[in-house]
Amino acid sequence: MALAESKNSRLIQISELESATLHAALIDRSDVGRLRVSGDDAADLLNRLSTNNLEHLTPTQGMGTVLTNNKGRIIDLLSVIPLANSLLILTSPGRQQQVADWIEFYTFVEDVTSNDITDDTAMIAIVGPKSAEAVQKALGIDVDDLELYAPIMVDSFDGASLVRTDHFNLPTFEFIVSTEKKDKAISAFDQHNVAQASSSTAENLRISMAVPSATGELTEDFNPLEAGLRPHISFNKICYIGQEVVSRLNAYEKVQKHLVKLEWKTEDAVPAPGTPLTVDGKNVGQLTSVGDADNGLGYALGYVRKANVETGTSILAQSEDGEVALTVTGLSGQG
Amino acid sequence: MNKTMPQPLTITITEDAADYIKVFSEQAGKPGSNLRVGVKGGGCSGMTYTLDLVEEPFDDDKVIEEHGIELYVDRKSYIFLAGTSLEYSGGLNGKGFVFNNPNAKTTCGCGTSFSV
Repeated sequence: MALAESKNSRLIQISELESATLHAALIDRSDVGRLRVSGDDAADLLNRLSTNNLEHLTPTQGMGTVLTNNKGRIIDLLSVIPLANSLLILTSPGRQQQVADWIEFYTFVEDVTSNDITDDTAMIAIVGPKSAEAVQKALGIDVDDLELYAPIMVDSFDGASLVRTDHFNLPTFEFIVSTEKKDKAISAFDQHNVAQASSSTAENLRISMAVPSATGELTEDFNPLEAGLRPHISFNKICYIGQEVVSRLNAYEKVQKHLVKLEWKTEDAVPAPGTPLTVDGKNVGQLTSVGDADNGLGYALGYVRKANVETGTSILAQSEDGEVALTVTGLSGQG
Repeated sequence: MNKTMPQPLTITITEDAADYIKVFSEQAGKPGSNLRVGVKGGGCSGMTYTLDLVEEPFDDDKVIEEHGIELYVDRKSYIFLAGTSLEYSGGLNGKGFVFNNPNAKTTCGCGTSFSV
């Protein structure tokens, strides 16, 4: 009985994952931190604290950027989205207070105020190749040409925001509504057969699409070049905290390890996050995220020394049930 | 046994630096200006120094007078600047204004930013 239930739950999960990768699925991402940062100096201060060139922010165009410490290590990956009189900052789940504190610490005489609106709002993501079509049907908005981080207001939801982030390395539209409107928003998509995927499906999708997360990859143990966050780094902007380290690592090609996608066959035992990775008995890195098995394959993410990141490289991980053979299938941040 | 009394931490300006500010403020068409010094977030190491010629302090500024110049410092910057000596190094090989800050644990390669 338990086996049948477990099999059923796996089949549902596979079907949800297929919806997201082949069609469109709804994922509740309300746990993502949301800060409303306002004040005349907000963009300038964030530009001095993070890796991307926020001088290029416009009232209609936002961008991703990485907060780094003075050693060039990751504090968090942020999405900065311009709203009418403020910036909406999406942080990693649970990181909003740390990010607000970081901004506050570096605010001296600047006109900058942060408000945590995470609990007052909900955020649902419409993910998949047919997500634009799903948004059109559910909200009546044409988003075919909507650029990344360029928000639009959704009048039928009292000024809710819709922004394309492609968070899952698939077309991804984030719909940010007041908490009171959350059920109505989910229902609008449900009526057009955009089913809600479970949190475990969302996590499997994240890992299979090599999206780094605060739970394993976006930490102060790693720098943004190791994490594959190069699209969010400007190498010709003004100084920001950690720039000297990040620029030197890039200029002298001193990045020692990279975040990679890994696969393993499900007949093998399941390795755990944190497990050391070895090649020929030598430590070459560590696992950071491990997904559930799906269609005979398991997916994982890990940081691996650059000599061992070529696609097809075989790497061993030790689990409680024995050795697991994993194969590198690509670098994170490169599709 | 000699006991030395601890000196209160403040911000000081050397006579050379004060003289140069007087000359510079004349050249800038703002004779008699004073100096606002502070810290702002940014720079490779985390914080950079700011220097501005101004006439008046803000309401909450700390005001320090030395060598005929008033230094204005906002309260939060003061925490990171207490004990600092503002010096001036002129000439062809000079570095301009130099913040000799005992709170700075590290500085970046170009020396313009620091961390505490």
